[in-house]
Amino acid sequence: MRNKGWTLGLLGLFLVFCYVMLQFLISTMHIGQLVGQMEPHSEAEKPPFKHIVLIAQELDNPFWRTVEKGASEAAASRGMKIDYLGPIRINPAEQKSLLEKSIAAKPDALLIQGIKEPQYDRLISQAIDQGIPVITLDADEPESRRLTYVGTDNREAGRRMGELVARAAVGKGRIGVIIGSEQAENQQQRLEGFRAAIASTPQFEIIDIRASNISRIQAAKQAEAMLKQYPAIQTMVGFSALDAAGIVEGVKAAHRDGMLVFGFDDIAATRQGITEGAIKASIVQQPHEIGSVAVQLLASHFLGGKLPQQYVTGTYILDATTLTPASSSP
Amino acid sequence: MNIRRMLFIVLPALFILNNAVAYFIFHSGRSVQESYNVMLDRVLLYKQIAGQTQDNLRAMNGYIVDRSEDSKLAFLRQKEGLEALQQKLASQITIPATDLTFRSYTHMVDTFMAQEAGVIQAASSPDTLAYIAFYEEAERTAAFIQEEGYQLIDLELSYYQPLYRQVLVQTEGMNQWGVVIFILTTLISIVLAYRISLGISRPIRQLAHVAQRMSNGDLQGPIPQLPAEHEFGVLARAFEHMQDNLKALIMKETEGLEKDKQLKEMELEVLQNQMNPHFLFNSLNVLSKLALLEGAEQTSDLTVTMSNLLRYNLRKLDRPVRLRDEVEHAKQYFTIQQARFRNRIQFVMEIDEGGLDVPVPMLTLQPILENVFVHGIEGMEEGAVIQLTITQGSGETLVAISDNGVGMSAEIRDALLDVDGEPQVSRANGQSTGLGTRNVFKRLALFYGQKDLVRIQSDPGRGTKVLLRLPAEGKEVGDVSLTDRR
Repeated sequence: MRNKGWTLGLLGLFLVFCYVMLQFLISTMHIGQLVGQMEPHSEAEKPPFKHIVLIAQELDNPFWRTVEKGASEAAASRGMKIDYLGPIRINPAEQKSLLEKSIAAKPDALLIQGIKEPQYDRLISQAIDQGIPVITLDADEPESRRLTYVGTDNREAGRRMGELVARAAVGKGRIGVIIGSEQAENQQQRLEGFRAAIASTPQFEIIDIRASNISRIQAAKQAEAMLKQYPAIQTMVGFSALDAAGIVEGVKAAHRDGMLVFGFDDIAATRQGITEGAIKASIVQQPHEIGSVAVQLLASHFLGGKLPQQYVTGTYILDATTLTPASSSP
Repeated sequence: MNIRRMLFIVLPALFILNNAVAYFIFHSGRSVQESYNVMLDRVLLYKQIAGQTQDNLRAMNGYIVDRSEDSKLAFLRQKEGLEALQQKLASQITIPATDLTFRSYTHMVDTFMAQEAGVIQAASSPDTLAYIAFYEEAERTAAFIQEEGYQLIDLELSYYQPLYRQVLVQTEGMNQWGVVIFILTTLISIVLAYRISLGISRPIRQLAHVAQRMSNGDLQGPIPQLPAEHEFGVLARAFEHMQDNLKALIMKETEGLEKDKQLKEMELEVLQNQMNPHFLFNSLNVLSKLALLEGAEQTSDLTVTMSNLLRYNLRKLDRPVRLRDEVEHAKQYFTIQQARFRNRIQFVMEIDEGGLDVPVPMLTLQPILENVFVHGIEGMEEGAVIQLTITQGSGETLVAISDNGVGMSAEIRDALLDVDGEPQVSRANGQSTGLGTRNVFKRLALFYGQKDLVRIQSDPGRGTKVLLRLPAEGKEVGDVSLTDRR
């Protein structure tokens, strides 16, 4: 029938129209949602939170990133937010400037790395004067008025490394050392501990010490140069996270076989080196725990609790046998 | 559906639909723009504060250096400007991504204000250079504010960037769907408009077609069938009704004509039967013989004439005769009347023999003569003249029957000539007013198929003249053809 055809045609057209209209409305709603996300929510909806500034030694350093992760996770449940800052490349002057800037921004607390410098001490004092609690991480600033220190006992870690080398490198006692930074307190302490440990074993001696400036490329370059200069070196030790991987590259470049390499911390390149046998072992700190503990201590400080003078986190040895790391306290 | 209802629903629906689409496009465009504005406002505020801080610093520097009242006023103005901006900043609502940086920024501005106050205080102290340390701090803080401001702007932009990209994609999609919607609504509008106009024009066209056929005399045209609630349904049904009525009327008319014809035949029959012929005919024959036996020759002749008259009257009415026979019959009729009226009447005949062969319906002349006797000259004591004139015209024969009697009024004349009208009621004296005459006229009209064959000239008191035109051709009389006799 003619009318039926008309009705069906119109109905079909109308259905198509409904579909298009639906699509159109969906688009409109999507835009509405997106705009809703763009528009800030009113202040009333946000719970009050504590603003914690964490200044890293180097922004994208895996160690510090892990510290941040631990801190953020601990902060999330305690009404705190971590503001993670740091120089792009390792730069103590910028670290200081960041601290200064952070003090001007009056956060609720500061988590910083100690640099062992009088001006840095003064800034810490200034922060404490303004009522901003300061906790040092990774490296201490013992002479300052910081509330407490959370991190590895670097001297102990160095000593542990010394013992490890003494045990593993029998007959290969001539050692080349790469450290992250000659100024950094933690590096110095590790070196001290290491020296103390090998001093008691007669066949071992440190041939040369060079700084990598916390750069894998620098570590490789310095290692190669060192091996060229002192062909007698049989064992290499890196004291900062990227050193071990750099040393492996340097050793390769110097065409030296049978070199024993020891390193610090647990990064992907180090793990790979251990798996391939290029790296013997690594002393691993627990940055996640450092961040987490620092935040926990801050929380108890805000509640009026008394803090310990320092809080030492443990280390463990990562080698071919313990690639699935099992923690062991010193 | 009813056209009105359809229009009532369809037009507003289309209107609302189009408006809704336009509104949605407008609305989403506006909300996108608003969010732009909110972000831009904040970004501009950050920028403005950083700039104002620098201006503040400069004004403060100027004041410390020259310590004049003017520069103090300038500094205070700058300070007020910064305070206003600071308040504006405090009332800002921020996005989650910039929470911390925003807080830092706010605090830095506070710090700057405090340091500024410190500088001014130190500057007014006796130790003239005590302000320097404060000023340096304020300078550094101003730098930090600028730096933090850039970072804030950076954060804002990087927070918005992916959202904006999505918004752009969605807007693009929405625009495309919007265009499709506009095309579709246009299409639907066109289809509906076509459908509605068809709903109006189709019935009109069909009805016009039927009306055309009706005006051409075809009453069988199909009437379009429309649903009851349709506006044109009423019209169509009225049309159908009209058609049916017309059909019924025509049928009734045809029946009436048929009846009329039968009635006329009956009238003739009745006329014939009035004569009561057979009895009279036999009686007259006996009377004639008896009159002869008794020596009354004139009576006998008269009776024979009467008998002939009757015999003529007994012939079949529906068969035409020649005018000659009619004239003969008229003579005999006159003879009878002559016997009755004696010298009171005079019968004059002027006959052109050539015209006597035309065919005429039987009993054409006698009823007219009878009418003359009954109405025209009955009251006259003497000197009545009845004249029968027959002349031959071209293709026709003219018969005139005239008298010098009382004549008739135009009214009666018209009534006589009105062949189609109803017979007039009788006059006061009870005799029929020329029923026979009218009958003759009707029969002539039917016989020749023409209506203008009879004329009557009459003046009341001076006489009447009836003129008959009898066409020579078209009818056969008995077995003799007209052509043979020419």
